[in-house]
Amino acid sequence: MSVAIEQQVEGFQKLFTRLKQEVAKVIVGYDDIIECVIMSLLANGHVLLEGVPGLGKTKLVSTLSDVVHLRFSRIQFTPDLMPADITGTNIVQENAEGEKFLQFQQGPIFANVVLADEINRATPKTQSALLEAMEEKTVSVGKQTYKLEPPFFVLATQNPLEMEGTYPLPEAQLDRFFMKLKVDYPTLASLHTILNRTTKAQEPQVDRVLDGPQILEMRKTVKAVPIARPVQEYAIRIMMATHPNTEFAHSLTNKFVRHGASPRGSQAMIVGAKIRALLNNRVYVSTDDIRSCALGALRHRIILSFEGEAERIDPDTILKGILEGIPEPS
Amino acid sequence: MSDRELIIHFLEKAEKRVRSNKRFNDIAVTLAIAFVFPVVFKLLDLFFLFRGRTVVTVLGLWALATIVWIFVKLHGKSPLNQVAGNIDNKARLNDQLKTAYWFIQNPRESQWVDAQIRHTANAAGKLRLDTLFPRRFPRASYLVGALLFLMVFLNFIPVSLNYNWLAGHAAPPFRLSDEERKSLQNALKLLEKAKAAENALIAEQIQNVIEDLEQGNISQEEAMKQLQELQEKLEEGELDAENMTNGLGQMAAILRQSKALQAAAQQMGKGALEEASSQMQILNARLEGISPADVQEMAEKLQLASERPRTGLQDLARAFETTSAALQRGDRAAGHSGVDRIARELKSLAEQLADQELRSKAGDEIGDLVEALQDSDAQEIAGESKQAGKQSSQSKAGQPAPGEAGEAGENAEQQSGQAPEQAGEGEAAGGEQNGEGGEAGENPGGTSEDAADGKGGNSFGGSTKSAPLEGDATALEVQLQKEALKIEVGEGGEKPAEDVEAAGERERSKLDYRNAPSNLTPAQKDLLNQDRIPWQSKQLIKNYFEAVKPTTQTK
Repeated sequence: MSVAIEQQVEGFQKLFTRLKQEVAKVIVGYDDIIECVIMSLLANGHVLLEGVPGLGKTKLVSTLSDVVHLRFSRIQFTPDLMPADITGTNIVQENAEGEKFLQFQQGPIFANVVLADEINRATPKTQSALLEAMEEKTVSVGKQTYKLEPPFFVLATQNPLEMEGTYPLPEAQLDRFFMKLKVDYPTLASLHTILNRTTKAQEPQVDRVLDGPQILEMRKTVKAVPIARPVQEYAIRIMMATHPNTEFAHSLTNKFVRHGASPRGSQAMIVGAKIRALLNNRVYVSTDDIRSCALGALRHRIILSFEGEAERIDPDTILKGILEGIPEPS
Repeated sequence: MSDRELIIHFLEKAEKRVRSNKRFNDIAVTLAIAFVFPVVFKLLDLFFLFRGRTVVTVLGLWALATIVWIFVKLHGKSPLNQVAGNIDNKARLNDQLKTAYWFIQNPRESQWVDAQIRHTANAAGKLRLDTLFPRRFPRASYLVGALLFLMVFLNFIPVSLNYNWLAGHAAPPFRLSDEERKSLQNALKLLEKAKAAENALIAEQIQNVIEDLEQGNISQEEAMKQLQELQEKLEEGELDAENMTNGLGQMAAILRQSKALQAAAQQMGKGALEEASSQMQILNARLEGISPADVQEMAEKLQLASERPRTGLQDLARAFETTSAALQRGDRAAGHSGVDRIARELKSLAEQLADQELRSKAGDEIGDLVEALQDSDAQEIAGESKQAGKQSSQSKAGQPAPGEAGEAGENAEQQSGQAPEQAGEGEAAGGEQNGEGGEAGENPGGTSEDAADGKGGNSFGGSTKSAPLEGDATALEVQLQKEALKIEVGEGGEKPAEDVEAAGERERSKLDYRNAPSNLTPAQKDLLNQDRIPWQSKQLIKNYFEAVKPTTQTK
């Protein structure tokens, strides 16, 4: 019995590593980002990548879609983009007898991997078109509800909010992302590699290493990893420490946070921690796993107060303070 | 043994090890903290000298508290989940033991959980408790050792006022000063020299009193009382001795008129009774060669000297009388025997007087000791009175506090037996400072010296000035003002007024009162001597007489 578990863990690690290696053939210097993106895919979550233009966010997503054998679509969010442009619409069709009827024309959301490029350039109305799809994995058009084919994975990129022509994502929308990953400028060494790879005649080619059923199987493995209650409580305490003016609130939270993370935040931490445990060849979740996932899972779920905004407080600073302040469970 | 049992067993073993290490460390830390107290206490003892009872009580309570503290700290076991967490941290197991223990405590049907427990059991089997929790000597134990060493060192510091607690010594409740001890030693030496058997008993009694005082069995007041009684006992025979000396002088004056007895009489007159005894022996040897007229003269003078003998000289007088009778009868053998008896009597008297002299000196030493004790007692009371005065003036904010001052003054007077009435100025000053200063002045606010210069008049007056004065302040000087005495007018006209003192001087008796012959028996004298002045009042009376002493003589 336990031999099967060990094989399962080993298989998971192999696939994950292979997937990562394939993506890393194209994307240089963002190992952590790649790992988190793959973790989100295997955790049945969505990822929001934030960074200035030109850092390879879109390339990362397109590479990932190349590596996994899944249907990929890309939506370029612009201010004039309408919800129907994403979800699809009923269009009038005529049959052989000349009768006219309405037929649903699927939008780009009907894919396994959706790249929502520059999501914050669209209006909040259009952004909200993704809400149902991301959480319920369904799309409602008119009176009809269409189920999205699993696995469904949204990778959104956004420019920092300070940039012109951007609309901040609604809190509800942000909460639906499993992780928000910050893409920083690459290092000097990484830039050398990037230039070497992209300025040559031959660009690196990636292989498809994973298909839909394998991803679903891996998701099952992740969910099977047990978590002890004290470790789970640790995750909950971290999440609750982001709630201002409560028993568990951290001092930084009370000062700079308007709204803390939702239970989705602790879900994200725990699922991410389970994947980390498997990657570390463990069959249980440790507090270290929780800590390593806390920033990515919670940073976009913290809404800063006026004081926080005024003082340009980074949610990561608050979260680091919380992680330092909460003792490990005994 | 299943994996679960293996993990539990390992955790229990680890818990025992952790507990024993923790206990060892806790004991060391507790002792390190606890030992600071006796060290500080001992340091304070070097300056404030705690009594044995205080030391035993405080150290006993400290020891009890330390034991209770250690017991409380050592009581109880650590929960296994804590131990598991501890091992996870030490062995960097990433919460493996902790989560496994949780799954053991909260079992569930899962292959994953089983796998985790199996992995954990394997990992636990590889762990070595000796490596994880080595038995080390706690750092605090070095501190304990240092404090112990310091404690021992402090006890053995060679300072006169340091008492070695470790040897069971502590400061006595009372300690004689060097001067007082010297007086005591002198008195005891003198008593040792004296031959009377009673002296040994008195010496023992004195030693017992001092011992009781030092051990706190009796109060200083009681000790002074007892010492004074012993002093009086020692000086009891002083009056008799003087009387005897005078009597011997009178006898010598009579005997000197005899040619044969002249040499011996001269020695008697000088008080050299041993010499006189020798002279008598010489006389006895050449008694045969003395002319009958001289013998007759000798017999007459001996008869005359034997009349109305002073107390203590009866035996000698009887010897004189017997010898005189024998000589007058012409019984030379009886004469020899009588002269020999006189010599022996004189020798005996010499010893008796020498003994009394030693006793008197010893009595003086004891008197000095008592006075020194009185002074120290008075100083203590003065200190207390000053404090009371301060409190009084603070509490009343400048208002007079008659009740307190009066009570305190009386109380202090009762305790000290001092009599600062002579401090006329002091009283007056007290009166100026405080409405009740007159009463307050009665308390022996200071030592006799203070009282003498008027400083001790008012200990309670403080700096208050608003107290109303009840008439003019009185001073002893006023009372001692010489009263003019009108003398009778003679024929030559009116004589100027003469003061009482001058009148008294004119009529002063030439006879020392001590030489006035007394018909009282020794028993009667003893009875009279027992009616002594209460010791509390002695200083008062002494001071009074010091104060009324004529100024010219004082100066």
